[in-house]
Amino acid sequence: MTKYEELKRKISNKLPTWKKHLIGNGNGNGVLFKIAIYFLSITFAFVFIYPIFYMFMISLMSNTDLVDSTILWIPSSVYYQNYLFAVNGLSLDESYFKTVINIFLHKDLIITSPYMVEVRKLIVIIAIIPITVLFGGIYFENKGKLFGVSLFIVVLIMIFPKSYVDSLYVAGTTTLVTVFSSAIIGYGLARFEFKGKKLIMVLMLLVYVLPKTLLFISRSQLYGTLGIKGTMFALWIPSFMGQGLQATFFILIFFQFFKMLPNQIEESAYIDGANTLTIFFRIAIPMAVPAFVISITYGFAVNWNELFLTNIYLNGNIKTIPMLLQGLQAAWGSVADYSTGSDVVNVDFTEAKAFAGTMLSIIPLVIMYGIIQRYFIESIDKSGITGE
Amino acid sequence: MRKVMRSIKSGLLKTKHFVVSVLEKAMNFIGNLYDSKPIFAVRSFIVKILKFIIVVPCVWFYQHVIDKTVGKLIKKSWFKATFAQKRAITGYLFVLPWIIGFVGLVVYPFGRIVYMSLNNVSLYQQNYTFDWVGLRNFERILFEDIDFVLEIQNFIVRVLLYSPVIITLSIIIAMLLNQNIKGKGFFRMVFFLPIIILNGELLENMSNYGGMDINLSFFVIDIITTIVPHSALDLFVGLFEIIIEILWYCGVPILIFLAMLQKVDKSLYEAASIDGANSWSIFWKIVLPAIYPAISVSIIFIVVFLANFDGNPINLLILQSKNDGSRRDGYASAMALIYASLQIVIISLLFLLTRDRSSKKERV
Repeated sequence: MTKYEELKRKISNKLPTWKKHLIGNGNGNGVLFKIAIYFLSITFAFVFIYPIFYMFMISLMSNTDLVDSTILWIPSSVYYQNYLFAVNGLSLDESYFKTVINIFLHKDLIITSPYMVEVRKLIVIIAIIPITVLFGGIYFENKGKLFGVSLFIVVLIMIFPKSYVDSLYVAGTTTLVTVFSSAIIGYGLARFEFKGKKLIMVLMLLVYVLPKTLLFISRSQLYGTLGIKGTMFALWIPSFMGQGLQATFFILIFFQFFKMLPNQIEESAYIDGANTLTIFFRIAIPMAVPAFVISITYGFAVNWNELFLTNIYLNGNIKTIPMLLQGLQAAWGSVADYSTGSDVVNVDFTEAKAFAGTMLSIIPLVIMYGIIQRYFIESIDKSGITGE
Repeated sequence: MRKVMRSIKSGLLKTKHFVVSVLEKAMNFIGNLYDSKPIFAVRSFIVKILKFIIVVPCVWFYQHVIDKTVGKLIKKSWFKATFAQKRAITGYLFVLPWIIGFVGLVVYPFGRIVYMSLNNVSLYQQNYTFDWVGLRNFERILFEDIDFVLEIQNFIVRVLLYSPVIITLSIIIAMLLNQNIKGKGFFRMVFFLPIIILNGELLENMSNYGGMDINLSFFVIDIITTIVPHSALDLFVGLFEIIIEILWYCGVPILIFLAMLQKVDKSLYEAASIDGANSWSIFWKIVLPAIYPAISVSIIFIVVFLANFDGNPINLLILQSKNDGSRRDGYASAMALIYASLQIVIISLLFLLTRDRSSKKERV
C-alpha cells in the first residue's frame, strides 16, 4: 500500500511538470508547440521542394519507365540521354571561347547569332576588367587584387557554356544598369527636398502598376525608329531611365534605405569639403550594401527569367535560356540523332526531356543563390523593405 | 560646388587657348608650305587674314554670346541661389533620368497607344498606315470576339481568389521563419528559392507535364477511396496543384512580412507575456497590427506580379493579336488599354480594402 501511495504521489508531483513541459506557459515554449512548428515547416518545405524533386526524378527516366505504372519515383536505371538531348537543345555544348576563335577565323557559318552581336558582346565582356578596376578603386585599395578577380571572372565567362553566358550577359548588364539608376533616383528622392517630389512618387507607383503589355507595342516601334531594336540598348536605355523590370520596387528599397541614414554623416562630409557626387559615391553607396545585395539578387532573377520583353526587343539576336527552353520541343527534331543513338523506343518528345531542360535551365540560378543566399538573408534583416 | 564651377570655367578657358594655339599652328603649317622669300609677305598676309576671319569671330562669340548668356544663367541660378535651392536643383539632377524616361518612354508611348487603339494599323514595308475607325476596336473586343473577355474573367477570378490565400500563407510562413528553430537557414533557403527560379516557362512545363500533381499509385488510390468518396480525392488532388502554384508565388510577400516581423521590438513580447497574454492573443494584439501596413504593399505586388507573369494567357493573347492579320497593332493596343485600366481598378479596389485605417483615425 505504501509503495502504491508513494507512486501515486510521485506521479501527481510530476504531472504538472509534464504538462508544463508539453504545453509550456502559453508562450510557445512547450514541446507540443515545437512539434507543431517543425511539422508545419517541414510540410511547407516539402511542398515547396516537391516539384523540383519530382522533375529531377522524372528527368532520369527512359520512355519505358515513364509508361510503366509500377515505377513512380525511382527509375529502373539512370537514363542520362535526356540530359544529353537537353544540353544540345539548349546549346550548352558550345563555349564562348570557341565562338571568339571562330570570329577571328571568320567561320561565320558556325555562329548562330549575327557577327556584330558577338563582337559587341566581346567588347563588353572585356570591358569588365577596366570598369571593375576603376570603379572598384574608389572602395578598395588593392587594385591588383581587383584586376586579378575581374580577369578570373572574364576567363570563367569565356569557358562557360555559351547560352549561359548569353543569359548572364543580358540579365547581368541590365540588372546592373537598373540597380545603379535606381540607387541614383532613390538617393535623389530620399535626400533632397524639391517641389513635385510627391507627384513623382505617385507617378512612379502608377508606372509600377501598369502591366508590361501596355507599352511594349509603341515602345518597340520607338526603338525601331531609333535604330536600337535588336541590340542590348533596347534593354539598357529604359533600365537607365528607371523604367526597367521592377525598377520602381528597387527605387523604393533604395528610398527607404537612404532615408534611414542619419543626416549628420552627410553634413560632416559636406563641411569637410566633399561635394554631392563624392558624398553619393564615397558615403551613401558603401552604406547601402544590403539594399544593393537585395536588388541585384532579385533583379538578376527577374531579368534572367524574363521572356516576353527580351523576345520582342532583342529580335532573336541573342538567345537566352528561357527562349531556348521555349523552343526545346521544336529543337527536338533537329537534335534527335544526338540523343537517341540507336535507341528506337526513345524517339518521342516526352516530359522527361522537358524536365531535363528545365533542370539544366535552373542550375546556374540555384548555384548563384546558394553562394549569395547568406548575404541575401542578412540583407533582409538589415534593410527595411516595406515601401509606402 | 564653387570649386567645380571654377574648374569648369578654367577648363573652358583652357580649351579656348588650345583652340587658338591649334589654329595658329595650322596657319603656320599652311604658311610653311609657301616658305620662300618672294612670297613671304603674301604668306604673312594670308595668315593674318585667316586669323581674322576664323579666330576673331570664335573668340568674340565665346566672350560675348556664350559667356554672357549661358554663364550668366548658370551664375544666376547657382551662385545666387540659397542653400535650399541648390539642394533642390541637385535633387532634380538626381531624379532627371527618371523624368526623361517617364516623358519619353511612358507618356509618349501611352499617347501613341491611345491613338493606335482608335485606328486600324497596318504595316507595309516598315511604314505604318493608320485608318481611323473610332471605337470600333473596343467594340470588337468587348462584344464580338469572345477570347479576351473570357481570359479577363479568368484573370479577375484568379486574382481575387489567389491574393487572400497568398497573403495568409505568406504570413503563416513568415511567422514560422521568425520562430527560433533549428535549421532556420535551410528553411529560409527553401522558401526563398521560388523568388529566384520561378519563370513562366518553368511553371508551364511543370503544370503541363504533371510536375505539380500528387503522384499516387493505383494501390494507394484504391485504399483511400474505400474510406473517402472519389470526388473528395479528386478535389484534394486538384487543390494540391493550385496550392503548389500559390506557394510558389509567395516568395516576395514572405520576404516583406519577415522584414516587418523582425522590426517588431522583442521587449513587447516579453512585456505582454509578463502581463499574462498567451501567444494567440500576442499574435492578434501585437504581431498583426505591426505587419498590417505590409498587407496592402504585398497585395499590390501580388497583383502586378500575376499580371506581368509570363504564364499569364492575356499577355500571350495580346502578343498573338499583334501578329494576327485581322487584328494587328490597333486591336492589340485597345486590348492592352482595357487590360491596364482593369488592373488599375482591381489594384485600387484591393488597396482601399486593405489600407491601414488606424493612422487616419488618429489624425481625426
